[in-house]
Amino acid sequence: MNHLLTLLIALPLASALFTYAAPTRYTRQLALALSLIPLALCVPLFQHFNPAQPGLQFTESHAWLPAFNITYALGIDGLSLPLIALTALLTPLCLLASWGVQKNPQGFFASFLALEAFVIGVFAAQDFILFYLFWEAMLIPMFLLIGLWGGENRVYAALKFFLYTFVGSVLMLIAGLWLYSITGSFSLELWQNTTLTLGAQKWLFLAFFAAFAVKVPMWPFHTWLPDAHVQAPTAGSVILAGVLLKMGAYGFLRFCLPMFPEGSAYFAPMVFTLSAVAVVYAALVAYVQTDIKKMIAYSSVSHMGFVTLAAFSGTVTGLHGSLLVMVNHGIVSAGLFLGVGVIYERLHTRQLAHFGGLAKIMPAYAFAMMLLTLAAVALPGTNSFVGEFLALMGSWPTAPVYTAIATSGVVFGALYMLHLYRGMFFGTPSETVHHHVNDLKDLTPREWLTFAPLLALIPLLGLMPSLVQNLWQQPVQAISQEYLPALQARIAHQPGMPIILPEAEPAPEPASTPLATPIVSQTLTPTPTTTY
Amino acid sequence: MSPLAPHIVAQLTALAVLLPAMGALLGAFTFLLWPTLKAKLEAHDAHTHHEPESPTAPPIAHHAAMALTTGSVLAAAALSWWLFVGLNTGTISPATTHWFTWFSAGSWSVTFGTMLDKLSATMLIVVTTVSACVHVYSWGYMADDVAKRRFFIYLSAFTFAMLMLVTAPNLAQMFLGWEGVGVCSYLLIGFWYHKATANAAAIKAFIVNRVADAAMLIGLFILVQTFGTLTYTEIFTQLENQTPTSLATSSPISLAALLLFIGAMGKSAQFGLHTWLPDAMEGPTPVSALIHAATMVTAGVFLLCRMSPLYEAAPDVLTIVGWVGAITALFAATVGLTQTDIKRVIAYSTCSQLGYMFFAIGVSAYPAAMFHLTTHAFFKALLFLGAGSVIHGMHHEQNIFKYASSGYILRKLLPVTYVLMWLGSLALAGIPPFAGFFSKDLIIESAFAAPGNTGIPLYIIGTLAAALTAIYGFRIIFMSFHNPAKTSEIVHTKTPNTKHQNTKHEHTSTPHESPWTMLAPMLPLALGAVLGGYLLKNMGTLEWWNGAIVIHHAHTALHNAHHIPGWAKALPLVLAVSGIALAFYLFVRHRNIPQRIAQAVPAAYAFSYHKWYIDEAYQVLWVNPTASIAAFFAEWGDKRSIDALLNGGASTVAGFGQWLRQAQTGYVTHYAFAMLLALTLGLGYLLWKVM
Repeated sequence: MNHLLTLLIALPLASALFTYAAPTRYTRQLALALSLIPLALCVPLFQHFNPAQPGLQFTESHAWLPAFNITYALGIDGLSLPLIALTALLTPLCLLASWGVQKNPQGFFASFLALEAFVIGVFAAQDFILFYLFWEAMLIPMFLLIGLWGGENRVYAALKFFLYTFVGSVLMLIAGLWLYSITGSFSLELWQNTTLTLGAQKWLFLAFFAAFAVKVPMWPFHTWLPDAHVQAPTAGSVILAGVLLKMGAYGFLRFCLPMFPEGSAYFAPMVFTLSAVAVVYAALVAYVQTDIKKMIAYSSVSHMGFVTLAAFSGTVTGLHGSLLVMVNHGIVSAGLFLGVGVIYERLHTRQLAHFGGLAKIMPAYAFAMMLLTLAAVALPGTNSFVGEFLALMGSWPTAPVYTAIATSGVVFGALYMLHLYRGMFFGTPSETVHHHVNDLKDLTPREWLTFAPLLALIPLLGLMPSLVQNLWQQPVQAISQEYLPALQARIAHQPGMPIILPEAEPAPEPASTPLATPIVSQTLTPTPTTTY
Repeated sequence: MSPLAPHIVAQLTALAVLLPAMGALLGAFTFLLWPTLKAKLEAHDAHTHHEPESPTAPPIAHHAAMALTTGSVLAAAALSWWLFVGLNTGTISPATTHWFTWFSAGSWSVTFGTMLDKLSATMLIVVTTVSACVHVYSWGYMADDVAKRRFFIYLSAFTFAMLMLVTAPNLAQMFLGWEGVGVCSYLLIGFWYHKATANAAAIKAFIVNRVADAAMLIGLFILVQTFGTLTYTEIFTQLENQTPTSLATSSPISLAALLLFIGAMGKSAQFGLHTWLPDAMEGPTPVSALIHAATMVTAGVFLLCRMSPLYEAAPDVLTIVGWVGAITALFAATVGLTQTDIKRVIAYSTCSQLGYMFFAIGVSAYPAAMFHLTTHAFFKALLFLGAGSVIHGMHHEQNIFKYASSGYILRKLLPVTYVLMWLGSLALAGIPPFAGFFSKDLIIESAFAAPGNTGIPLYIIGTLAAALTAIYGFRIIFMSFHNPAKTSEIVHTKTPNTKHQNTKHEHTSTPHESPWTMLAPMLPLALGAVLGGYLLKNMGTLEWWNGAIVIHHAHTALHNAHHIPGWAKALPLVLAVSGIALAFYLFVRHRNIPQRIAQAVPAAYAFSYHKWYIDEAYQVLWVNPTASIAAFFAEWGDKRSIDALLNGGASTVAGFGQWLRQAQTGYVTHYAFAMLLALTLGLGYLLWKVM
C-alpha cells in the first residue's frame, strides 16, 4: 500500500518498455492488458483514500539529491485522485481506439503508456523538481504522438505545442528555483506553508501563470490547442482534452491559489476577464469552424474558461464547480473526440459539410453522440450540468459581471454543439456519405467498448456527483480559506466593483495560519514556517 | 376517512412521476432487442441524390414500445387523478419529501424529492391527462411512421421531465425538468430530422429557450446568494419573516424575480422570446398538442404561480409581467388573424392565451392564471388534435386556404372532427358555458378590479384580444370546414360507403375521417373543454389553493373581480359573440371581403402577416451580428492576431539572432568600438542621472 503511487508511475513506464520490445503481432493486446493494471490499482487507491483526512495521503519520500534538498516525494489529496483515476481510465480507452494504427504500433503504444506514467507523476509529485520533471517529460511522448502519427501538418502542430508549453514552463522553473533560494527546499507542502510578501507573490504568480495558462489553455494562449488537436491522432486528442488540459488547472489549484493567495487575488480580475472572454470567444469561434475536430477543440477552450473562472472565484461552491467541470470535461470531450475518430476512420474527412444524414445510416453512433452532445451542452441530469451550475453559482458572488458574461456561454455552447450534431447526423447525406456508404458500418463492438464507460459515467455523475465531490471536500475548504479572504480584500480595494460577499462560508481563519500578512509590505522577507 | 400517511402520498407522487420514465426506459430497451437496422442507401449516382431508405425494425418492436409507454402514462394519469381528487376531498394532505442529496457545496445542498400540493396536483392531472390522450392519439396519427417507437419514447420522456418540473420541491430539480422538457421539445420538433426546416426549428427552439434559461440561471444564483437555498419552502419562510417594507426595497429579490420571469418568458413564448413557438409547429401535430399547447409552454405560468410569495414581494416586477402578458395577448391575436397555416394560427392563439395567464399574474390573480392554464390545456389540446385530424385527413396539407379551395366539404367528410373543433373553438372564444368562458372572464374581470392604474389598460387590451380571439378562432373553422363544393367532386362527398371498397384509391384523393384511435382520445379533452370551466370554477378562488398560492393582502384584484360593474363583465362576451358573427360574415358569406381589407390597408396586413417583422428584426439584430462576430474572431482574432503575433514574435527572434550574428565579426576593432560605445552611453546615462 505504501508504494501504490510509485507503482502507478513505474508500471506504465515498464509497460512502455516491454511493449516496445515485444513482438509486433501482440503489441496492441499487450499494451491494452498492461494499461489495465494501473486502472485496477485505482481500486485500492480509492478504497484506502480517506476523504475526511486533511493533507496528503499515500505519501512516499526518499532523499534523491540531498545536496540540493531534492526528494522523491509523492502524495495525493482529493485534487489529484480523480485526475489520476481519469488518466488510468482514459488510457485503455485510448489504446482501444488506436487499434487501427499501422505505422510503427510498438512506438505508438509505448509512447502512450509512457505518457500515462508521466501524467500520473505530475498529479502525484510533491517535490517541485519531480513535478517539473514529469511536467516536461510528458511533452516528449505527446510530441512524438502528434509529430509521428499525426495528420498532414503534424510537424508544425507538434512544434507549436512543444514550444508554447516549453516557454511557459521555463518561467515556472525559474520561479521554482527562486522559491528554493529563499526556502531551501523544493517541497510543495513546505512552500504552501511559506508566507510571502505581495511583491514576491505577484512575480511568482505570473511565472507559474505562464506555465499553467498555456496548458489550460486560457485565452489568448490557446492557439496551439486547435492545431494540436486537429493534427493529433484520435487517441492523442482524447488524452490531450481529457487529462493534459487539466494539468494547467490543477497547477492553479496546487500552486497559485494556496501558495500565493494574495498574488493570485491581485491578478484575479485579469483571470476573470480572460476566462469570461475564453468562454464566449471560443464558443463563437467553434461555431464557425468547418472541421469538427477543431470545433470540439475550441469547445474545450470554452469549457476551461468555466474552470479558471470558478477556481479563481475562491468560493467553496466555485471550487467544487471548477473541479467538477474538469472531471466532466475530461469525460465528455474524451467521448466527443472518440466520436470524431469513429467517423474519421470511415470517411477520412473531418469537414462538417462532408457528413449529413448519418442518423439513418449509423443509428447507434448517432445515439452515442447525442448523449455526448447533451452532456456537452450541460443538460441537467448529465454530469456537466452540476459542474457548470456550481462553477457559475460559486463565481457569482465574487465576480458577478464576469459570471453573467460566462453564463451566456451556455447559449453559445448549445449553438455550436447543436449545429455540429445537425450537420453530422440530420438532414440529407452529402456526396461523400453517398460514395462511402458501404464503409459506413455502425459502431463495432470494440468501439462500443470505448464509448461505454464514458456514456455510463454521464448519467451516473449527473445524478450522483457526490461520488467525486466527496473526494475533494478537504482541499477545497483549505484553498478557499487561504485564498478567499485575500480575494475579498482585493475586491474591496477595487473601486467600481460591487462588493458582494460570498455565501456564509468564509470560515474563521485559524490563528496559526500566518495569512494576515500586511499587503502593503514590499520587502522580501521570507518566513519559512514548517507547520506540517 | 383519515388522511393517508404523508410518506405514502410522497411515494405515490414519485410513482406518478417515475411511471412515464419507466415507460420510456422500457421502450428504449426494445432497441436492444430489436435494434434499428442501418438504412439502405442506393449506390451513388453522380447526379441524383437518393434519400436513404428508412431504417427498419420489426413491427413488434414498435408495438412493444408503444404499448409500454402508453400504458405507463395511462397509469400515471389514473394515479394523478386519484391524488388530485384525494387532495380535494381531504383524504390526502399536501406532502413534501426529500429522497436523496443531488449535489452539495459547502453549506448548502440540493435534494431530490417530491412536493404534492394543489398546485402540483393540478399540473399533474393536466400533464398526464393530455399526455395520455396524445399517446393514444399518436397510435393513429403516427401509424405509418417508420420510427414511431422513438416518437413514443420521446413523448414519455417529455412527460416525465414535465412531471419532474411540476413536482420538484426546489428550483434546481425544477430546472432539471425545465431543461429536460426543453431537450425533449428539441428532439420532437426535429423528429423528422431529414427535413431541414424541422432541424432549424428545433435548434431555434432550443437556443431561444437557452437565452431565457441563461437569465434564469443568474436568477437562481441571486436566490442562492440571498436565501442560501433553492428549496421553495425555505425561501418562502424567509420571505414571510421579512417585513413588508424591507421587501419593497429589496433589489436582489426584484432582480431575481425579473430574471426568473425572463426564463418563464422563453418557455411560455412571451413577446420577444416567442419566435420559436410558431416554428415549433414543424414537429408532428401530437407534439404540438402536448408540448406546445397544453404543458411545456405553461411551465412559465406554473413557475410564477409557484413562486408567488417571491413575486408578491416584487410588485414592480409584477407590473412588468402584466404588461408583457397583455402585449403578448394582443400581439399574437393580431398575428393569428392573417396566418394561413392551421397549426400556426393555433400556435399564435396559444401564445396569446399564455399572455392572458401572465397578465392575470401581473394583477396578482394567480388562481385565475392557473384556472385558465387548466381549461386552456384541454381546449387547446383538443384544437390541436382536431387540426391534426384535419391534416391527417387532408394528407398533410396545413394551409387553410387550400382547404377552402379544395372543393371538399370537410364538415361532411370529417363530421366528428368538425363537431370537436367547434367545441374547442367555443371554449377558446369564451362562450358560456364552455370552459374558456369561466377562466378567461375571470382574468379580464380581475384586471378591471385591480388596484392601481395598470388594471384598466390591461382590461381594455384583454377585451380587445378576446374579440380578436373569436375572429381568428372561427376563421379556422369557417375556412376549413365551410367550403362551397366543387360540382365535379361532389361525388366523393356523398357516398361514404364507397370508401371501404377502394381504400387505396380513396386514400390518395378524398379527405377521410380519422380512425377511432385518433377520435376517441379527443373525447375526454372535449369533455374538459365543455365542462371543465364549470366543474373546476373553484380553482379561481384563492381559498381553493389551500396555501399553495400566496397573495399579498393589498393585491385585491382577484377578490374584487366579482364586484365589478355588469357592463364590464358583459363586454368581453359581447365582443366575442360579435367576433364569431363577424368571422361568419367574412369567411363564409363574403370571402372576398378579407382580401379587400388586406388590399385596402396593405401595410397593416403585411405587418400582421409577417408577424410584426420580429424574426426579420432578430435576424438583423442578433443572428447576423453573432455570425459576423464569430467569423471575425476566428479569422482576425485567432489567425491574424494571436498567431500572427506569435509567429511574428518567433521570426523577430530569428531575425534578431541573424542580425546579432553579424556583430560577431571577429575583428578586434569592432569589439573595441562596441565597448567604447557602451562605455560612453553608460557614462552618459550616469552623468545625466547625477545632474
